[in-house]
Amino acid sequence: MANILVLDDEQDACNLVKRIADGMKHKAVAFENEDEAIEYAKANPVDLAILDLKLKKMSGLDVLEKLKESNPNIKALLLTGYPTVETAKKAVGLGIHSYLTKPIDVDDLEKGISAALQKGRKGSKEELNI
Amino acid sequence: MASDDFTRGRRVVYRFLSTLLRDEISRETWDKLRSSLFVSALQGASERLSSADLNLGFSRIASYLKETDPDEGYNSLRYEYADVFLNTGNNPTFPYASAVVVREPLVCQDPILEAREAYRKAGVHKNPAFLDLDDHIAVELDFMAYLCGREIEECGQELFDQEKDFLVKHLQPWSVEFSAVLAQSAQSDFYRGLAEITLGFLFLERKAVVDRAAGRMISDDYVNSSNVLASVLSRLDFPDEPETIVPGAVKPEPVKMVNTHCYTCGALCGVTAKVKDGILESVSGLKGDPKSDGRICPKGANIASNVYSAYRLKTPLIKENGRFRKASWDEALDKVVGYLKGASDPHKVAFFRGNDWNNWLTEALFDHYGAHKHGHRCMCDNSNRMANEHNLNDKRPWIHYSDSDYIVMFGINDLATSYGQRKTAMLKAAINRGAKLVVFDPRRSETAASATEWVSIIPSTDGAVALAMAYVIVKNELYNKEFVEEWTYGFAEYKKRLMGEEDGIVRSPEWAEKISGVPASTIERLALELAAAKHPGIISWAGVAQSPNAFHAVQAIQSLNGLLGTFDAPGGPSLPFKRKLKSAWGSGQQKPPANSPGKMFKFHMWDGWAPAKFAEAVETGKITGMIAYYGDPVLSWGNQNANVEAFKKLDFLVTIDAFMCNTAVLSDVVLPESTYSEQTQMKADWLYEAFIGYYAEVVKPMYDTRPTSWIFIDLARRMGLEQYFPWDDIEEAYRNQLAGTPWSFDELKEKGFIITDPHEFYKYKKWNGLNPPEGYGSSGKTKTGKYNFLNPVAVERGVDPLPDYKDPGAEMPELKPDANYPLILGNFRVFEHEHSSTFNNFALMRLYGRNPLWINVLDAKIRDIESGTTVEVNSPYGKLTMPAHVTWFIRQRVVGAAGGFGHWKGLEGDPKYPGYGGGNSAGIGPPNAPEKFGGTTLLKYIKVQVSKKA
Repeated sequence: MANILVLDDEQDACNLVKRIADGMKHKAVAFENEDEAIEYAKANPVDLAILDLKLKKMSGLDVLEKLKESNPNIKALLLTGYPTVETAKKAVGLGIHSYLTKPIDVDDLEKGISAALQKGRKGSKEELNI
Repeated sequence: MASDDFTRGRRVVYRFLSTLLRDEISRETWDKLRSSLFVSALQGASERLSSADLNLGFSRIASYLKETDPDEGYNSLRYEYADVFLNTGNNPTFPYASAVVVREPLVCQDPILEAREAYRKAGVHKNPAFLDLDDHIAVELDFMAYLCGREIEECGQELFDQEKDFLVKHLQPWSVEFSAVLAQSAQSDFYRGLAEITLGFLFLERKAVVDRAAGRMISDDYVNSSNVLASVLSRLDFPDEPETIVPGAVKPEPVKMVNTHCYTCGALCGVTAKVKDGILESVSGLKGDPKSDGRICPKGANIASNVYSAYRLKTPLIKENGRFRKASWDEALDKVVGYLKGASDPHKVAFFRGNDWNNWLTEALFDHYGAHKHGHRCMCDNSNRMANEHNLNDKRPWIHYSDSDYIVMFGINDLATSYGQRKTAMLKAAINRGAKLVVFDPRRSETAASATEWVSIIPSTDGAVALAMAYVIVKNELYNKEFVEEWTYGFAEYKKRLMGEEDGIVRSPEWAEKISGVPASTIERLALELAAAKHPGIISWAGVAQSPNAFHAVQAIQSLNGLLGTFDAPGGPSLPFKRKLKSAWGSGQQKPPANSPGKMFKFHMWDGWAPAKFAEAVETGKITGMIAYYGDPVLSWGNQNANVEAFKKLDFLVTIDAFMCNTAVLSDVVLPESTYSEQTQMKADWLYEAFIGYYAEVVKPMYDTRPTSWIFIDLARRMGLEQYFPWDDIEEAYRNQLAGTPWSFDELKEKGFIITDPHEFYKYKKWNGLNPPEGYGSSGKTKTGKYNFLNPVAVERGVDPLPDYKDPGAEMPELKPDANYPLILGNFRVFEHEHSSTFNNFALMRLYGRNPLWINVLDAKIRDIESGTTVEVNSPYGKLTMPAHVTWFIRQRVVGAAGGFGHWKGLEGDPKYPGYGGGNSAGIGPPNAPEKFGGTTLLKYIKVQVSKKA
């Protein structure tokens, strides 16, 4: 069982991802607000962050950078309705485990969660310097 | 349901992307792209596309096409393609689902199996004529084009589901990261734009497919964009039919187990490879094989990471205008033959082989051509060979550890550099049952760490210690009198040397203490212990051999075995012997006659071309061109700066390798060799038993690479030498080599090895001498048939023939440490790597990916250096920057680093993986200055100063 943080500024999307993670017997906590999510992660163990790219105040990648300050080993999945080369470059550079396009395929999200939480090499993707 | 026009439009875009990503841009495609009608249509279209990335991507390409000179642009794209996709550049993009999904520079991972399964379900497979992988982005895009084509002809939920599953679950997810990487490694707006188009198009495709699956209408924006694109891209008139996908579902190949040998390092351990659907999945040890007996090391366990390294060379390459471009085998080989035929003097061409793979073949060609040739000897331990190959029968009689109770090692890290995991296991078993292991080494290596006693010693003084131990043994008459009397030559003279009767210098422990830093009491104690042991054995290797005074030091060390009569005894060095195979040229076939160029250099004990003197050889016109096969001379021939300048002066340089090694970077032509797991050889070998080993083609050659045998036979035929290289299949040559012998080639292939002669102790008694009998070979021969304390070849050549300690500066005073360069740098090998050949193996680099400089705590303290500090290592001949590793486990005034690092390309050069890589610590040694007896490069004795980098 892993501790998963979900952040999406749309409540429905947030709840959906949380339900999927809970359904996999993980403990998922959902946030719509970036600051609250960041503060939570400072005070609580988080194994995996599932972040929407487009948030209200900052991007999901900005949030990930902040999360990594207090937990450099945190794993992350990025969800986006609109992938671009620029955001993909930054995401890969930050070591995002998977970059998933919305609308999310439930199977793909479950696979992404399982893969990111795998122990050892397969659960830890290299951070490419790009 | 989507309209046929819309689907046709989608197919056009998929074919466009597949064609442009599949290969370098052909001249025909380039001309079509550059037509003014197409460019203006593209510019107009880009403004009407709904996706920002599609907009930007097509704009970039349109601008590039409009603004670039036609010829320059075409060539430039060829060079860029080679840099980005063929691994000639620093920052490649790996266009494979496998490499992107695992985010490691590895191909043929799970995603390729997913792709194959998708093709199978659709009743197609990758076209075998497309010499790249099933999960190449171009193939996957072509597959989508194929599915679009089918959708036009037939409808159906199953077909739609195939399309949806492949796009949503497989292609689109990895295309995002692929596009991101391509965008940043692209050198021009052409490929940058292509990255943006790929990502943007596949995102819209995914959205459309998801909408269709949910019963929603595809967005008008996307339909309009697709129609706009289709109308423009149709002008290119690419064929509708896919080119990388062909009809027919291919069943997965069954699992097979292949017995073979690892060729990562010189151990050549027998292994069994598990191959699933034509992909090497895993490797285990081959039980019963004399080298491994079922064991493997990390290098063997990670053979697949070598085969599937994403940094592999894929096609021949030709350098043009200072850049590399793809070439066909015909063009590349004709160019090589042109160089060879056009050389002003074949005797000024050099052939270097960095390994001995099928060397009977490779050498036959260049011996006939008349080139100077070199293999491994001077890069490793020719000084050692000149001692052992004349004083006994072989360069390296490994100790038989099964009964060892006392083992002494000088300058050898047997646990990390072992020639066979079976031998390693025997050594560990000996230690575990209480055998005493004494290791003389300035550094606490893995073996020293396992030893009963690690004796830290000043570099290049091992000979003095060994001599002093011999003195103790002889003075106290503890030597094996029977063996010395009956089986050795020159004892009387040696005794005089030890006792100081020649020169008044008694080779006592007190004398040796002053030289070596090892206390006299320790030397005496160890000598007495050694002499009292029941099954002693003494050995040395490169730690001694790669020093200026190695020849006499090796003789001193080996003399301990001579005094104690340990040769072929339990616990002693085992005399090597291998069966001599028949000629590869069978009945009616003729081996090409050799055309000797003479000996390039003369050393005290050996004559020939020593690579450490390469710069001098080029400067003096002795070498004007070179064929370099494997081994990366730039990284392994000593002073890098001098050698690089020399390579640049050659009339031609050709490299044959599986990777873009540093020498390949400097080359005019690069020929991509298949890895050893993709080709075959057969080899008479030995580790206690004499045996024949088979090296199998575990998997088919990848990409457009070729086996060594193919390359050299084809070269020979293009040189008009077909009569000397008659085999159509290299197996015919192997069968010739076993013809008339009791051993079956088919049995050998099946089993992986055949033991021809079991191990025996005291073989020399049966042989009536230390040389093996007729029908067997070893690397040397003792002229007296006995063990020689007095080297008879040295006598002939006017060299002091007795074991001794010679000051390292005696003939090369400039090498000795001084006030400016007070430290000695030694290069060492590590368990995870082999010379310069394993640094594109990601699995091994994860285990050992950097080479920090080992520096003693006290030496570091006075220089204000801590572990992790970046330091400059300066020699009179070069400098390096590396991180420091501060430790008590290296002697004061000695520094060390793992050799083999320093590649410009591949993983070490790839900015995407900044955590891997190091410096060429062997490259700051003196140029043109090998040791004077055998020409060995001085990798263990380089004077340096170390300082904190400002």
